[in-house]
Amino acid sequence: MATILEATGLVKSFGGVRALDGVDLSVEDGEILGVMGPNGSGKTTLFNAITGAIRPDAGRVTLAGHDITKRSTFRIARLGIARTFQNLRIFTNMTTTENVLCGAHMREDTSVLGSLLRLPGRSAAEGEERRRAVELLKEVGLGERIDVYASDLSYGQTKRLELARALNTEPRLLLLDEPTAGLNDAQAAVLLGLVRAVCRRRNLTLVVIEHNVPALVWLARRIVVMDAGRVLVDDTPEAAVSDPRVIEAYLGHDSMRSAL
Amino acid sequence: MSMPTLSLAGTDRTRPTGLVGKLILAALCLVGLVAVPKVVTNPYWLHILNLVLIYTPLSIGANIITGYAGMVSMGQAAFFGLGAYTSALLMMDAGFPWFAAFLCAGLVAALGGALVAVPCLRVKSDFLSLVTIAFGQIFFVVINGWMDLTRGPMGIPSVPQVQVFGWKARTETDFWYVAAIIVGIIVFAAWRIVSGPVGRAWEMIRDDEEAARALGVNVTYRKILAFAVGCLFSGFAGSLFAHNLRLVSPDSFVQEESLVIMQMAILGGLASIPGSILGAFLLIAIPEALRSSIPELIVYRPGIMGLLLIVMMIWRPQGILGRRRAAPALLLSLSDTLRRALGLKPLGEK
Repeated sequence: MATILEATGLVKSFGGVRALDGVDLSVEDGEILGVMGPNGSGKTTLFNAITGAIRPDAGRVTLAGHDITKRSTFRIARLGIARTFQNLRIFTNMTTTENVLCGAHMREDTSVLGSLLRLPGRSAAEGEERRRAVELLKEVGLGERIDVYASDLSYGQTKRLELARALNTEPRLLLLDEPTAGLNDAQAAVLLGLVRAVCRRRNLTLVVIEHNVPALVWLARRIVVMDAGRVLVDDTPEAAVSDPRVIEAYLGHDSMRSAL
Repeated sequence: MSMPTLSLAGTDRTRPTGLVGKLILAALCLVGLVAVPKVVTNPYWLHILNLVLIYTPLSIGANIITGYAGMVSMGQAAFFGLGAYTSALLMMDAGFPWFAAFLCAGLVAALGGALVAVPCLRVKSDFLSLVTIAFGQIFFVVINGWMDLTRGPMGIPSVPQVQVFGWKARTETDFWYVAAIIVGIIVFAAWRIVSGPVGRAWEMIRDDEEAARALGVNVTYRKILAFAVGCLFSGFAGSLFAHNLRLVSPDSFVQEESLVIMQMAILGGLASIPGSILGAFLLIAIPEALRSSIPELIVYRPGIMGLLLIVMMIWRPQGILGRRRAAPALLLSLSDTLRRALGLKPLGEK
């Protein structure tokens, strides 16, 4: 299988802390890769380095062979990487439909002249985008909440909305940062089931940071465990979570103990 | 659910307006264009309405920069002035026909806006306001001091009237027709720009720059574009102003003027085109109409408006016709601070 994303030797320090300490990661086309690790092990920093939200001090990131290490975030997004955020970044002043439409920014004619002239075909295209947004809302289970203010959604619903918005960019690679954080076990299971379904339908490559170990084992084809800014283990889900080094890294973390 | 009358506040802008609604609106505009000078026969009152027309693009321009793109610009009077001087000088010294001077006024102001935006992007939002204030001051000092070009504090008198194909707008009624058509087109253009993907990109930046970037928005370019488009409209307003008042002098473009323009945009409603029209009406028509009976009103307008805005910040930081919390982060944090000081919960908290 072809490698879609490759990170080599990523280093990033904040003050004296090495958030990333030489991370190597490769993602195969079409796979679902799970990323786990104790808090502060550099998982989100890794996402930020991949998407250009922070610039790594050293190392290289390539997307389908193109070096994207020094590209700005919006250019990386345009190359086909979409992401969600750990603490949700929804446009709360917009409706659900508008939020999803924001994902269409890269496809749409966003020139001032185009907006002014509204040549024939444009309103058809806008109607098509709206229809597509409504479709996506239905797909993520927000069919009852079309054209509702995003700030009126429940926490679980905003997570789905963020997913729909990211999907609307039609990414080649989707990065989900703790999609189930703050959800109870039942909600988390339903959401991850949804994530798997939408990825399979699109044959989408997914990298997902997740603390819920059994759920991740179920979802991912491969799991990378990080600790102190390094990749500790990169293996099949079952092998990764039973690796003694992983248990060692988590020792003292009650969540992991009970999870195992 | 939302009532149709409230749709002006922009409850849902992804749904296309029906053809019937558009036709009714167009008919109303046409009736207004013809009827206003017939109903308002007193030239002084008509002059006030003309001023409202002149200030409408200013208010819209400020709203694009502040209400949509989320940058609190406090120097809009400079772009207003840039348009006014450009138009007057091109017509008087370079012999441009009025309409050509008018177009150039907008373009020069737009270019000025884009250039000011560049240093603004390098600073955080609160400092951006300071940079725009500084630019306003620099503009004032330059036009006040560049005697050869602008005649300095004396200003440029006897600016020619608005002329189109040899027809001169001699009276306030004549000016009304020209200004109403032009401002009508500007309002329509602004509405088209902000209600589509361009406006949505600005609102993404206002609400969450990081999320906007992750969705492929070129934030730097979009911010410069907001300044350019907003200042284009300010420059157009400047031209209308110069040829209506027939005098351009530095006094018209002082810091206080920037404040009034920003107050219009905020009070009327952030991220709302009808809000900007309302703001221009409230801040121009009312104080001007009461100028003779309550002269203090116009003198103390910035102060009165300042108080009104503080009250507004406490209960409705997005302005009268603005929607939800669609306001720049700077204003939202101001609102939260004021509310906490009064022992109230910040508006966003549930």
